[in-house]
Amino acid sequence: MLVLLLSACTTSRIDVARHVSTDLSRDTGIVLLARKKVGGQRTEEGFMECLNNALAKMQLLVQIYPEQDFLDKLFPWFESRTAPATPGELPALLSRPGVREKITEIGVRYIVWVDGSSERVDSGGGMSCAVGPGGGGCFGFVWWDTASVYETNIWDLQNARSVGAVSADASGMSYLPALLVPVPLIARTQNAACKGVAEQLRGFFSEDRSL
Amino acid sequence: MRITRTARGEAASFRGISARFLALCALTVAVCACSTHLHVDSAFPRPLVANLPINVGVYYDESLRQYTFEKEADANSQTWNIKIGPAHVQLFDQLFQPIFENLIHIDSLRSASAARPVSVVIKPSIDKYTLHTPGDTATKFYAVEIRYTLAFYSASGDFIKHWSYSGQGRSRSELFSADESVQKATVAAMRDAAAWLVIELTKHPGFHTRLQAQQSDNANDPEDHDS
Repeated sequence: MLVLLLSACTTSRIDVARHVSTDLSRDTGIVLLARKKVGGQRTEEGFMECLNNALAKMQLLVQIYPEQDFLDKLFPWFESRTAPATPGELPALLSRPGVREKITEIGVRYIVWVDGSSERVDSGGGMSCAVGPGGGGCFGFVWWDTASVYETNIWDLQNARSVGAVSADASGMSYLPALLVPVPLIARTQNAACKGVAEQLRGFFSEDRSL
Repeated sequence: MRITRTARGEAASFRGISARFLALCALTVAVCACSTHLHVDSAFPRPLVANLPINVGVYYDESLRQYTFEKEADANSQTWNIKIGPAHVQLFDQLFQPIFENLIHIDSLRSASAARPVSVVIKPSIDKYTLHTPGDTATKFYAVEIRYTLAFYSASGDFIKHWSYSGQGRSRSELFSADESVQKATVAAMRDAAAWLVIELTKHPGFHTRLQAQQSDNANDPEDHDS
């Protein structure tokens, strides 16, 4: 309740593109992979955790495979310099010794590539704090704008093609007014984007999916 | 009188010890606050590649086994002492064992006889470890680059050729956990370089035959060793 009261407004937009329907069963596995570039990933670990948790709570028809286990079992084929950039590169990857067999063994049928991040785009205001023998306090007002932009692409490993994509764009302004005690009013844009993406991904991996 | 002097002396001595103790505590806190010792330790995955039917020797010298990066504190960063040698020995073992049919650890590069049961000897080394902190780059990331040389030798220890390559890794800066971020960036750089190495070693299954041909060329033209 306190979190809700202290949350600032967030605006979000979710776009979905669905190319083909998914073929699901309880044995079907999906893995969420953060797209890595130049040795590291831009997407925050917190966003990946939020997305995994949100999907785990949904009644999906698939099993979610842990990202690090997938990367380790298929090392080095999904590292930043080797991961396929387009579904068109999947056939060549799957033809490498042991790759198709390993993917079949662990039961992963769909990859959900996640890319994006949350950034502070603007900020302003000022605040000063002081401490004395009789106590301390702050006075002032600080604000900042945050934009969270994420994109997910769903690939079918079995048929080496793209199934669809979901993108989320959330923005909001956070405030920190202080009259003795600073009171943060945080725009939770990353959380809004996470919930929006998870809700749309459910459409791909649950019973109520439709083309 | 004597007793008084002794008492004063003891009091002064106690004050001196107390002052020194407090100074030492302050110094210890200051040093601990600005210096991070990190021992990179991580499990590395076994590469999913086809096995090459050759026997290979691997030689880890002391400079690789004990490699430690040290960086003095500056305006943008604290003091760093990062030990990465043992993790690299573990990494190279994990990479080479599935790639080659037999991997044999050797204690010295030179052999009195050419009777070693290996086609080629590999000597990996770390040339340079570079750490960029968020303060250095004005970003939210710790970035690590590691440059390596992989040298190939004949069974008797004659140099054949070398490969130079590097890996890059980065990790988002987290409040109060700079050491964890640097650990992640270092492991990411090691994995990045390892991915390149695995692919290059397995890209050309007949590479050991070419190495042997190169060795013959080197024997005919010793000036060409470092090309």
